Amino acid sequence: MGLFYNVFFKSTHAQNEDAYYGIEDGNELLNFSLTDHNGSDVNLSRLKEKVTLLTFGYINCPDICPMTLSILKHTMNELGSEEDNIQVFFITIDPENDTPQRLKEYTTFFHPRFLGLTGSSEEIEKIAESLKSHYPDEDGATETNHLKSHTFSIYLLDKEARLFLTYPPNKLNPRAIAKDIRKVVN
Amino acid sequence: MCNAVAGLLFIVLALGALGAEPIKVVNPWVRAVPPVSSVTAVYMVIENTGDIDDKLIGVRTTTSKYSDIHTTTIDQHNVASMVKVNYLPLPSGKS
Repeated sequence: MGLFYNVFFKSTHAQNEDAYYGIEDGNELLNFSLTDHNGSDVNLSRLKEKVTLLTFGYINCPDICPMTLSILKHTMNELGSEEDNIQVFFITIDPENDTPQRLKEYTTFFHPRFLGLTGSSEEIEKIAESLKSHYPDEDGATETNHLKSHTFSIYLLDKEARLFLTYPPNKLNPRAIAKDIRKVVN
Repeated sequence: MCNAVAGLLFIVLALGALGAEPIKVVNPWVRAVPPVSSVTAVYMVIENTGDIDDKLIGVRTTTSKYSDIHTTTIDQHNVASMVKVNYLPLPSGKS
């Protein structure tokens, strides 16, 4: 267990009704091949089924990942019945330790519809690169310290599986994210 | 509060001044994590209301084999890193 301090995140709001709260992008994703925690394939085609919220992390992350998934849970709560219009994926950056069963236990703790994704390191890196998400290799892991650095952001992909909006650490207000989702879906 | 970590947390000060009450722990809380995760974080505000600078040099808990003091930093690419530190300064009159 760690003791953490000095983590403060600003909640900012869209400046006007027309603007998106998230940072707009238009990045095309390279195709990739991952598996969800139920054993189903997830590739670029699967991302085109619904608007997608996606984030990267690992199960033994004490701080950032549970915070991000809690924000996503609250975003789903804000959407209410409209939550059926989106899919939420948590992609592990630690596929050696985060087995599908463990990913299922982890992601569904936050919301029953969240899906954990895993695969080879190469395939995970492929989609991370497409989204400009980073998780530098860590040196010096010890028995008590398995902490991994990684990008702290949520990505919103449109139904063409393009990166449409990014939510960095200072833009993680669930209500504002939900408002963006309604605009994108409608 | 996460049930898995609903134990006692002890903080260790360089000057051991907690008994004299210039050091106050305010709003401690534990992040709830799924049972499949073996780690979590404890947050608190530590106020040094005394006249002497102090340091937080350790933490212990009754429910975890290991506990460390970390800081969280986020770089210009939004990469978050948690760094283990040997102590946290507790300057006089600050929190």
